[in-house]
Amino acid sequence: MARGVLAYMLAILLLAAPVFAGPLPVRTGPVVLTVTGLAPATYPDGKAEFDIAMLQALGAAEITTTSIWTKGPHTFTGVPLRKLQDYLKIEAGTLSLHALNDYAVRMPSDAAEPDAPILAYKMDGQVMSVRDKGPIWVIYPYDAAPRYRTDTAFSRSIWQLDRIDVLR
Amino acid sequence: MPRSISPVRIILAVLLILASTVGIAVEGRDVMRKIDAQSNSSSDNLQWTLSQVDVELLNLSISIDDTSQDPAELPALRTRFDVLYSRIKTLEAGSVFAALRKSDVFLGGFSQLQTFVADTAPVMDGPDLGLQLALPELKLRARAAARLPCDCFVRDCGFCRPV
Repeated sequence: MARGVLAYMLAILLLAAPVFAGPLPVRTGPVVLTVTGLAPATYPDGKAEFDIAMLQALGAAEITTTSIWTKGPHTFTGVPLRKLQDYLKIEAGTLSLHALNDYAVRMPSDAAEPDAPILAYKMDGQVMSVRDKGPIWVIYPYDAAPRYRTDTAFSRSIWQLDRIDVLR
Repeated sequence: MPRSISPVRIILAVLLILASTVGIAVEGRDVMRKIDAQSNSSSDNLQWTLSQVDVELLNLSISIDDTSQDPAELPALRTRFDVLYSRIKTLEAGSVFAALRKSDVFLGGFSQLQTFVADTAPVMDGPDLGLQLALPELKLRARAAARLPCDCFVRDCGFCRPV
């Protein structure tokens, strides 16, 4: 199917935009993402744990795109990585992203754009199980521009993400 | 009579050439890195993906052994299985693997993996006790699946250069 014919959609919709400025809100669900290496002055043990509701509260974005790992277009919902970094005040260093299967990839903390990638926790409106590449899948709008179809973007599209280490 | 060149000048010239060479090499490497980062790619690393199937099958076998010793490992076992399940689904659906899926040689081994995953999923999704009782059989089946020569059937397909 020709890319030009397909109506690729990149829909970044800010569904909710409140960003907490203070300590983390109380977690009520299971931990889906742990971020370590944060400033101990702000986060005990330098660690922050998120459930789905906490990630949603940071402000959700949607990306509708095809990918080389799936069939047909899907709509992914998640929090932009940049927004999570801003919330956690990660201003420099390297992010080491880890998956449940021990796959890990590093990226500079300034590599995230305002809207891409997102840490997707839903695909087509459904929370992703591990079998569906959940709890979190790093998604770029692959159809939107060639720069999202590079080996670098693909290698950073880590699925079953459950931990981010901030290396300074 | 030609004037002789002072040793200091020769040393300076050599140092200048060396510095230029190093500078060009560093700059060239940086340019190559940027080109590589920006080059459009329509493929994932096929060989890596298939080797991961092997790794995840072996991890599953190890996790079955661990769980046989300690039932507290049941959640970890289920996660290991889910990771393998996801990998198989990716191979089934990913556009990057479309050519691979057209190969009878590949499908011969892969269909056995699909059967293993499909048959095992209900046991993994069932009660803890049922899963514990099924561990000895699962151990045998996982080890048999791990012996499927993923890398070989891909090599035979001609998708990878012989190692």
